[in-house]
Amino acid sequence: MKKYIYLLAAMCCLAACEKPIEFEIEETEPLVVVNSVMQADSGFTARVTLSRFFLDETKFKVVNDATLALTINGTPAGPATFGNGRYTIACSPQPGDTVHLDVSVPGKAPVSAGTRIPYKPQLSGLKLLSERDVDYYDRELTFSVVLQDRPSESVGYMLSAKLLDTIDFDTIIEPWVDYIYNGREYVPDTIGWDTIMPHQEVRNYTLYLESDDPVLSSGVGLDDIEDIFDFKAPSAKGGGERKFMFLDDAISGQKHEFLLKSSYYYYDYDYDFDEKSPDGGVHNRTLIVNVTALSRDLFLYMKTKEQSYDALEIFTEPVQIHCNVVGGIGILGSMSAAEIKKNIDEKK
Amino acid sequence: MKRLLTYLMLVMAGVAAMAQSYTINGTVTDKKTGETLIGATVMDVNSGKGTVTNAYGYYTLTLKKDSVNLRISYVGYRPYERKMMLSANEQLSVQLYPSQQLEEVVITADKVQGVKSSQMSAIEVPVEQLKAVPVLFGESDILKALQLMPGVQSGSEGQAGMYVRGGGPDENLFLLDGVPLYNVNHAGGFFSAFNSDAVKNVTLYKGSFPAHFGGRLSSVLDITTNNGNDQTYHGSASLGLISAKIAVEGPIIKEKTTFSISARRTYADFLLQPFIPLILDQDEYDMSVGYYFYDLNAKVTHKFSDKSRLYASYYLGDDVMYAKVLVGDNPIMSKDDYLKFGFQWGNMVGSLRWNYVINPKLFMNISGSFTRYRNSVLFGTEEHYRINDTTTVLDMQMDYNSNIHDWSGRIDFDYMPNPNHSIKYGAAYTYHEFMPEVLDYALNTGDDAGDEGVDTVGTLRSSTVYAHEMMAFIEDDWSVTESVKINGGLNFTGFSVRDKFYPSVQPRLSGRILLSNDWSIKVGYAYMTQYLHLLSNSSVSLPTDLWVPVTDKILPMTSNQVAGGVFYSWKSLVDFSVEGYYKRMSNLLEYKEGSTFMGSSETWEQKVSMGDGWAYGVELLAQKTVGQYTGWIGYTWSKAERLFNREGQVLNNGQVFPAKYDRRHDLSIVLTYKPNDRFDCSATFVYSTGNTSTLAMQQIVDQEGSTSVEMDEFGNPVIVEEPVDVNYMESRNNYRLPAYHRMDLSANFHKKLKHGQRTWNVSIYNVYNHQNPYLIYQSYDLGLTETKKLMQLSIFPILPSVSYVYRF
Repeated sequence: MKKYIYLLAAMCCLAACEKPIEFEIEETEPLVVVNSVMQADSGFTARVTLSRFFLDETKFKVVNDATLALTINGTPAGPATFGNGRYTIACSPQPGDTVHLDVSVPGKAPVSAGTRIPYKPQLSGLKLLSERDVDYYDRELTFSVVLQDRPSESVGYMLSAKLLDTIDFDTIIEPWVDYIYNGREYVPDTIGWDTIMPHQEVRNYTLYLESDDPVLSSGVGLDDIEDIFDFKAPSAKGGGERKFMFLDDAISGQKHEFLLKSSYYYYDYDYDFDEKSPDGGVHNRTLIVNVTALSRDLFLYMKTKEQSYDALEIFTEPVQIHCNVVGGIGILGSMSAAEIKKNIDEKK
Repeated sequence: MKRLLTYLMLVMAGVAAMAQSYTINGTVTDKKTGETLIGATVMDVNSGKGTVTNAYGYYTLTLKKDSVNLRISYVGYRPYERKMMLSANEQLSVQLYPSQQLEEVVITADKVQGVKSSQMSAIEVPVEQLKAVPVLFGESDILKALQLMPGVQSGSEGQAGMYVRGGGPDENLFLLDGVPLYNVNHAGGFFSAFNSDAVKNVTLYKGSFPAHFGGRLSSVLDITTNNGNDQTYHGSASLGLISAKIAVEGPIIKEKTTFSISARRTYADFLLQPFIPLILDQDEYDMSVGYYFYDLNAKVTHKFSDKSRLYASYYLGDDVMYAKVLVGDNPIMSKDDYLKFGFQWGNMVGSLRWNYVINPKLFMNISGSFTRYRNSVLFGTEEHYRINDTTTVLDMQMDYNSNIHDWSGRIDFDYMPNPNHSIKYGAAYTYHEFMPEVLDYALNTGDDAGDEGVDTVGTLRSSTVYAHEMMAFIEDDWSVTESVKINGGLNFTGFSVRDKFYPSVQPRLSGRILLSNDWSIKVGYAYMTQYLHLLSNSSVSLPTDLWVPVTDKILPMTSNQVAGGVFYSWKSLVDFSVEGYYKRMSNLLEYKEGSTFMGSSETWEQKVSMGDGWAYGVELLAQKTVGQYTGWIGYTWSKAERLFNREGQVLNNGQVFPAKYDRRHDLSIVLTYKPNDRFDCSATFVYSTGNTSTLAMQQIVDQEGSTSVEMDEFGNPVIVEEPVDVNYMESRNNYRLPAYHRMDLSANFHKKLKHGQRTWNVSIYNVYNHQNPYLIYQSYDLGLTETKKLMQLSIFPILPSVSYVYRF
């Protein structure tokens, strides 16, 4: 009897367990998706596709029969040509130009978008404030850079940095590293393990930035812009770096000095920065800070799209990807990049 | 201020003019139990003047020197009548006899609070009727019964959270014997924290709030617990599908001191424990898991004299969830590793109140209370080392907890200078101590040979916010003429936190015009301010939801609500009402897109957006509270929207979006039939428009990587290589789930036994087994090709339940 009581009680409790059933939902019509990022002095490239219903398994449709009308400061540019999945228009927009795009796809309502090409960020005063070993392999740099925000435009910024270290050796080479000397690449297998020869090694450190600056407090790690839009931008590139992204609201029209810190891992065990070159290598390090001005829409698009990847967990609020294509989805964005360099070994 | 003084002078003049008036005062109690009756009607039939008893069963009625035909009535009791010549102040405490008869004429009371009251947007349902409503697992639940009233909505299915007139679940003030409770849910919201066996009276205000209430925007639920029988000992014990309850009450000193204790605990953790090894593969897992909740209500009342009473109340309620899993055993090292996880959340409230009748026209209540709300998430490991016959345990655990401690004091006065004025005034102060997300650690070692080992405890992170909340109020229920009655008042509040002080003056006004004895029109306006926010995830309500105070950046929430309605009473048996309302709310909080509640205390201000909202609707109610057939039909048409377009705090691109629980239609029908003392039954039907949900209906291709374009079989270019799909939602809460509906049935079979009465309850939840959506999610069919599909999760199919109650 006891076991039947247990069984009955358990069944009643378990009857309340979840029961998933397939859910029918009305399919939505695909929308026109336009993606394009413009730069000063560069031609126009856009991809036009159709969105799909989220349960649809078919491939995304690339639209090859769209009509694109681009105007720069009200003057038509074009015509648009289609090839390799993209529309291109020969043009040369300048900073401050206003760009408007109309896209008509047969069977769909026309869509439109606009952007204003941002000016190049004005960078100055890159200073190395200190450097020290934080542990056996990590070295910390503290540096500052000044950004002058333009009062006349409202943009977002992406700030990144890298360190280029060119080392000239005249020592025994290490067989697991590729060497460059006088522009020629040496593969270790082709030379003996104990060969003593002058050689040059180039190390490119992408810096993981840290800062206590409240302007940068909303900084997020983002994909490289060139990965998203399939074109090359002069920004620091590499896995695992942290870029700061921020709107210019916090510094609106002002000059602002950013204090930045970064530790980078160096694999030159016996190198002592305080002595010039005990390992026989002569280091020549260049600190490079890159700031890209992004049209506000592009900034919001990038930020929300990145957030949307992280918002798939149930406890995270859903993210609406920012778009500026009226009547459709996507982004017509624009950007201008600038970088400032400083050789930090000059003083040694 | 000048106007207030003028008004007070007018009142004083009224007092002088009533020099030939005398006052009758006293308490109204149940003859059999000695329980005070709240809301009993005291009326002079000759003059038509009347009042109702307050929350302590006390009344005072000032009448002109004349012959008086006094009638005191209460639903379910035989009325008391007395004719007298009023020539002096009279102290008259009355005990009413519960009616054994079911004729409607006997148990109908004169409803001063219905058509004739100046109060609108209030719901009063006899507790016995609320308890009769069939609910989940047969566990009677007052909050869930109130969710069947117009203007009150539940969240997702089974949730006890209340959404009143487009407001959020944190905008409701739950008062248990006058003390606010923070968490009113058990089991994540499937049950409320109120044990219905301990409850004597329930009143819900949805708008037109009297000035003596404050602190929340959308509703006030005023719950009074039983004092205890002052004549004999009584009690009940019940055994249901998921819980056991016991309640005992009686006199400590007859007619002087009483007590009332009720307790409840679920026992699914005990019942299911033997089945866990069967459900889980014992070879792979050694696991103990469980969940239970309990609550305890206790109250002691002492009557010093007819003028003086003392009440001591205590409430304790907790939910506990635990799991301990063997994650690794190493026979060579004789070592077992366990992972531990636990959740605990709940309230503790203690209060002391003292009533004193200063003079027949002036009643005073002084109270002091302490509230503790806590929630805690525990993670830990246990390492067991077996050396010879001794097991040494290394126990490490982290406790991530949030606590709120409130110390409150309050003084209230009820002053009735003449039959035309009933004035309430008073003040209150609360000292808040918020300790959000404290991180404690503990490291204990010991063995089963008696060595207690070493204990290390400490706190890794703690930040306490102290705040002071103060309130003063004055209100007057003023009978301007025979047909016009106005309740006007002011509520002054202030909140001080971190060198910031927020003052607020909140006017309240409601009025009634009596068209006839059965018809009235009412209007009301209330301005409300709320200084506390609940940070909760938009998809799931969790016990870890954080209560946080306003700060220098996060402003107090405010609302302006106007309401108007027509009320009709048919033969004092059936009350009909139609009410319309419009409510505008400011400084509402929502988590920003992409935010998560985890670890939010230090930066929570940056993770939320502030915005505005509004709600409007029409509510229809037909309610019958007496007779063999009782129940109500409630219907609500409503709309609730949000707009978050402040700079840096934009949601939904700055466009208007529907609130999460925006529903156009809500219908509920509750019917109870009680033909005799041996049997009664109830049926409930609910229908509501589906909840909103945010669903990314479109997908776009992310142009990440080097995707290439080729032609498909129709010659159209398509992107090949598997691109990354990006879900795109057009707007927030853009999708509406299917309509929700279900029917529940319940029957009670009573039988008198030698020493008491037993009741078998049989109830069926969701009789026709409708699969109501709890949430929807995307899933995949993994066949030859992967097929995406949308799944609906339904958690409550048809659920029969049985419970047994023995009363003595």
